[in-house]
Amino acid sequence: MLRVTDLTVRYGDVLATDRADLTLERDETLALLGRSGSGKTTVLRAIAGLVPMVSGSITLDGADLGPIPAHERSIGLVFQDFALFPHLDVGANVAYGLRMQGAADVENRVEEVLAMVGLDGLQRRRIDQLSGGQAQRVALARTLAPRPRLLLLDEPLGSLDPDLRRTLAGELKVMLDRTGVPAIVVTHDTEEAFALGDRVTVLVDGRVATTGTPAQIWSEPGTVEVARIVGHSGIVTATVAGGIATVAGLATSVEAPDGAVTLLIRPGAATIGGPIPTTVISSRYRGPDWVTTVALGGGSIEVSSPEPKVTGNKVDIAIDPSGVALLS
Amino acid sequence: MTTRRASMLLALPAAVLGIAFFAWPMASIIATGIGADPGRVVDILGRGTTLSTVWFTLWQAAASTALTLLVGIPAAYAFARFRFPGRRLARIVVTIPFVLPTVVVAIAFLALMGPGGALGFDLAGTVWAILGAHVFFNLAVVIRTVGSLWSHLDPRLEEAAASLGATPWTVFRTITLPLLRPAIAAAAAIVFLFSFTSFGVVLLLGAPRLATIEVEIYRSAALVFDLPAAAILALIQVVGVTAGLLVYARYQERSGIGQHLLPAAATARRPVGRQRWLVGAAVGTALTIALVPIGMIMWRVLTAGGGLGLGSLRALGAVDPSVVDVPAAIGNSLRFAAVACALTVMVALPAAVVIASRRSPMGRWIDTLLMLPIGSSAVTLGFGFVVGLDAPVDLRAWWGLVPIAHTLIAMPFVVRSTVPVIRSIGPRVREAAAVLGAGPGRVWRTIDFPMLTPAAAGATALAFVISLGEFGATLFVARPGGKTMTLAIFGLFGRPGATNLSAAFALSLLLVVITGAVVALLERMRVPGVGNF
Repeated sequence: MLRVTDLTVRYGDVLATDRADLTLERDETLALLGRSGSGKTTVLRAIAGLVPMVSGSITLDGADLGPIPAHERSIGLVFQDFALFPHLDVGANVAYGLRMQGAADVENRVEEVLAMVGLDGLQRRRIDQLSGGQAQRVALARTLAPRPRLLLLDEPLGSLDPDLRRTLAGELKVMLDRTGVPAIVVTHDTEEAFALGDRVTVLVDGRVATTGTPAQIWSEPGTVEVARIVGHSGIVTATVAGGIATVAGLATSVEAPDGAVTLLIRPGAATIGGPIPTTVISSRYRGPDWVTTVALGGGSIEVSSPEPKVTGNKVDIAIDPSGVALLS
Repeated sequence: MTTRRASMLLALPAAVLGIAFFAWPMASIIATGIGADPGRVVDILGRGTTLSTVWFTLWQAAASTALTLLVGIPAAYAFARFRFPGRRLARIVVTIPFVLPTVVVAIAFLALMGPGGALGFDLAGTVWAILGAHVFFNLAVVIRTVGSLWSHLDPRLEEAAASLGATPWTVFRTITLPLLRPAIAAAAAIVFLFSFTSFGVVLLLGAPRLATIEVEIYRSAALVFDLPAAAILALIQVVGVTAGLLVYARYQERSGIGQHLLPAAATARRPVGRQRWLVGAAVGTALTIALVPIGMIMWRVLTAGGGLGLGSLRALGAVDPSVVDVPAAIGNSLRFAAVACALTVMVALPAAVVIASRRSPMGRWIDTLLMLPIGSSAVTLGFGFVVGLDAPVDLRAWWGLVPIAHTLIAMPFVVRSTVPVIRSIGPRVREAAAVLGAGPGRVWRTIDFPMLTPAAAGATALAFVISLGEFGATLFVARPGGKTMTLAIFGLFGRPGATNLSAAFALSLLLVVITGAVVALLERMRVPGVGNF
């Protein structure tokens, strides 16, 4: 239903997004994942009509959004830090969009939306008396109240405590599914992107690096950059000869020409005990086990071990070839 | 930072000065007003001129405030929200009128719209000239006060409103304006107060028909010698002003409640498309208002004596010393300003330290109390000196009264501009210094002092400018041999002769140059204050 094609936005001389393409289907939540400065917020702002495009097009249900000003787009945007109106109470914040539409029965809709986000009866509460989690819900309620065609969320949990983030991420997912409004969630947090997005689009330097389901992105990130953003650390260099990539004692078949390649060794693929000799770099306690980082192929990988290993000691490991992916 | 005893010691000079030279004269005015026999009081209050003076004072102040807001708010927006070439210089230029002596403002407007003025029509003696001068003078208050809050407002609030379907005008009406209300109200209160107590401008531009209470106090006391009438008018003035200050203090407290404020740099952007016209028009209007009257003075100086040249500077030397002793006036002004600066350093700055260290509600009241001298107005202060300082020691002929009056008038500005800086030195910084081994004295010397020096220097410069430009109190207090530049300008302007007129313009230009230089210096040092209160 939403199609962003070839989107380019500039801030002065800085290229914020560079020919970015993305699509969003009905009933879908897309997570836009990237580091800060990768242009993900700019994509949202362009869709909302808050920044002018240099080139490209944005269509919603086939209609070109380009000439339509922000206030006529009916696209809901939840801001990072929420941008609640400090001079209005909770009820008036939620009612704002409804009043702009000239909607009848504003009070009932406000009540309904507040109930949906679990804040029944807080209409008269002042904004500066809300907790972080409540403010987040009010922001969501305010955006949902006028029934937007599309929901955009900019780091919706970014300003909250880590603890709260995990709880709210689950709740937010449920709410997004229940409202049935297609949504784009911008985040720099992989866990959040995977939790909220039906699909994930990864942005690197203003360009779309890859798009796929969370599982696809996690297991086949495709590039070193995306693998790092997703949080993988087992990135090593191997040598290919005749379709076989070798590094230390590991040999696995890859579809690549002869020469050097970069391999991703997924977490869990390596185990203690096996044919591959490595050197311990460090060991840290995780709770259920110890995570030992060992040097391999110009990089390092993590191995779970039942006891700490001494830095500098040798340790032999095995790597399951099905846990290895080719990166470019 | 300061123990009870130390803070009492620091506050002592200000307390002594305040009691002897502010409270005592005010009490004398009250005594004079109430001491008059009741019949006289009723008679004075019931007079047509009293009523019409009070009415005129009120409505011209209201009209001045409305006009200043009308011109100032768009300019505040442009300066707060946009980056454009020459922004810094433009800010300095629009600030200069605020520190210009009122006599110079009046002369500039006479040159512009007085008899034989550049605009070609004579508005002298009408309210239009007065309103124009008040807008000119107060524009910086609105631009600075409203602009400083505006530059910190989170633009995402406006974007949020837009994404919820609000048109740009609705966004302004329902989001921006309510958020700016404390700043607009504070600016309006200050502009209203300044216009309400306007003296020099109205004395010169309103004559002979129009007078504010302030002008009427002067006329009653100095020209008609009706001291009870002057005292009663002064009391009306003080009541009105106190009411205004209370409104101001109320909004001052409320400003910025619950708002998420951003650094100004994060909200300013380059204007695009239609915004360019808006910014151009708003800044252009403000610059025109600020520059044209100042330009008029320059023009009159350059064209004096026929052709282009600096003839009127020579006129300064040609003025008959028995009429107005110009060199003596320049000397006196500089001497008084220097003494006022010294007094500011010794009296006002220590008081500011005490006020800053007190975070209780008391601090706010002291704050408001210190604002009173601007409000109770210069003329009232000067009048109070004349009626109050004859006993126990007759000080009325003492030259020191002039710089003392100037220091008192500068005090609110000095305190206002330094207290926020002192408060901004977080306790953490001092704690860090203490943990690193600095004793209390060392902390003051190595942390507080260097951080305060720019603000203190700025405040002192401000006192210098205020002293140079002061007119109302000086008019009462100055002795025949101790006339200042502003009094000289007033005297020269009231006398016939091209030389006298040229000399008046030349002296005005001199004051413009000095005050302009100080404003530029303050802006360069980024000292908060001037119009920022």
